[in-house]
Amino acid sequence: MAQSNPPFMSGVPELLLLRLLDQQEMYGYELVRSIRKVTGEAISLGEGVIYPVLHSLEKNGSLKSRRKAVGGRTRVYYALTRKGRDRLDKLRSDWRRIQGGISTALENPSHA
Amino acid sequence: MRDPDFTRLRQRLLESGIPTRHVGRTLDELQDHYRDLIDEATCDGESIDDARAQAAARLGDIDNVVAGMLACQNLRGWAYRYPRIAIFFYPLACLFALPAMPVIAGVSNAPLVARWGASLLLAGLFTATMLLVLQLSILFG
Repeated sequence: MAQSNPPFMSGVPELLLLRLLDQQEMYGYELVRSIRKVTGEAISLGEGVIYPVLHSLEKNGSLKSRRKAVGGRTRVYYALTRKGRDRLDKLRSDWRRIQGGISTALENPSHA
Repeated sequence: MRDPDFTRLRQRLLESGIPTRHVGRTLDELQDHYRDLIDEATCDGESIDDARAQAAARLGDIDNVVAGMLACQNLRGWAYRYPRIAIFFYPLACLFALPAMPVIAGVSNAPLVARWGASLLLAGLFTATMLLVLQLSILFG
């Protein structure tokens, strides 16, 4: 079982969702499974909290959704928009900058 | 093991100013997700009770879903986001909408209004005809 995620993980679900949806459209359950898989279960979400993030991203135009009947159920599939791709690029560069800064601080604590 | 309390979740989201349409969609997706989790656990060989318990645990506390929704301000209705504006806007809107109410009511009940109008027209024509006949009978009688 993965550990619960610390508070500084705020914003990470958004980054991961955008990254996964950049590859293909997916529905909520599929997205959570993919997050567990691609992060080696290092990131474990309370799975219900994914929907506020998805809906908020859709509302601000980063995602679009469509209903699709699959196996007798109607799924809501999400896909990335042009705006979402721009948002992903920005979040990715922010993340790399922060990650670089933290790595430097951890390796050279005397300069921190 | 109890299922997640989706009724309470619905109530809490509505009370927090999430629009009804959006609440319905969120619940549909969560319930589908919950069913998928149960299916996954039963496929892994769990009993139905254990599968439901695992699914509920993985879905997480519904309070977290509510908190997540409230953290996304753009998901709330505008009156909840800008309550001060709403306090002024709603009475003003009602004041301006009041004279338009009969028109709106007429449009929304158009078939009824049309039948009522046609009945009045027929009654008027009938009365006019009767008066005409009466007048003619006085003139030529």
